[in-house]
Amino acid sequence: VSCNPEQVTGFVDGALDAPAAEAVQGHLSACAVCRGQAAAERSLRARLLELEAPWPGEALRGRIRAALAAEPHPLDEPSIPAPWLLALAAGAGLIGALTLRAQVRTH
Amino acid sequence: MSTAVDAMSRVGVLSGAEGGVREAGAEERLRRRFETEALPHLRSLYGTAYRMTRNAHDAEDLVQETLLRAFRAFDGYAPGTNIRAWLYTILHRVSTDAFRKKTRSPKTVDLPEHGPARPPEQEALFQGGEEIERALSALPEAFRTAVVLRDVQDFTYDEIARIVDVPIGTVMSRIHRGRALLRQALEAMRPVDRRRARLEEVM
Repeated sequence: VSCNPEQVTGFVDGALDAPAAEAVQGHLSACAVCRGQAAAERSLRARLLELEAPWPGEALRGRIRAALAAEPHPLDEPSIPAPWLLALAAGAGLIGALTLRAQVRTH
Repeated sequence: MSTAVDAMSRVGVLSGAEGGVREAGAEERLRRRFETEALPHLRSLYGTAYRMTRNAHDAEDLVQETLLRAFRAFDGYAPGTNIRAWLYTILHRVSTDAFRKKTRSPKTVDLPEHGPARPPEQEALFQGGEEIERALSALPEAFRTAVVLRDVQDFTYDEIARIVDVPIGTVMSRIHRGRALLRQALEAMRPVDRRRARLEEVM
């Protein structure tokens, strides 16, 4: 089997399906160049995983909290379409008028 | 009309001066959920934003816009699913549409031999690993993003494919290329005597 450096990367990351992984494994036992690549990628990956996240300070968290607090909530958006609101208002008005008439009648 | 308004406020249609429609308590619940589920990822999001934009100011804008967009869309996020990948998908989308123009500039293609690719004062942000950070920041954007998502943030190929919106094969190829370039850059940064020692070893 000839060298396939991309597959070696996928192998290092455990991202290959079983037959492909098996093929790379077999190749690695016979190819020092690809073994070297796998080892180098593993140690590079270990160094990268250890990197500390850059962080400008807690002031950023405060600024973002403030921006979120100022943000109108998604649930604040009128989810009932305008025609519905009108119909509702009209309905309520009608009920109000009927109640008023009923009250007038009883008097 | 006042009767109508009274009736509407009685059925809970009106809330607050804007007259928006909402269910009582739902807003606070959602805000609290966002606080406990999304905000803990701020630090790692900022780290990735910084490595994508390579400057603190753009990184702060990017991460803030990401969290605002996530908050607006949070109602549609299914609780218990992969929130980290969901946030990174938004981060990537925000960085590709709004920030692409802004961050594309010639200063970002400095080679490691020519010194840091970012202003010196930014160095202070890093706790260590300056050499590898410098090499990382010199990688072309697509490779840098793939390597950061895989090797710094430890996402799977599957997650990266969804975050960046490319096929898995492309993810693998970018990680491969990115790591190869990174190894080359790190090799080039080694002190000369160490390189000579290695050379002598070989000979």
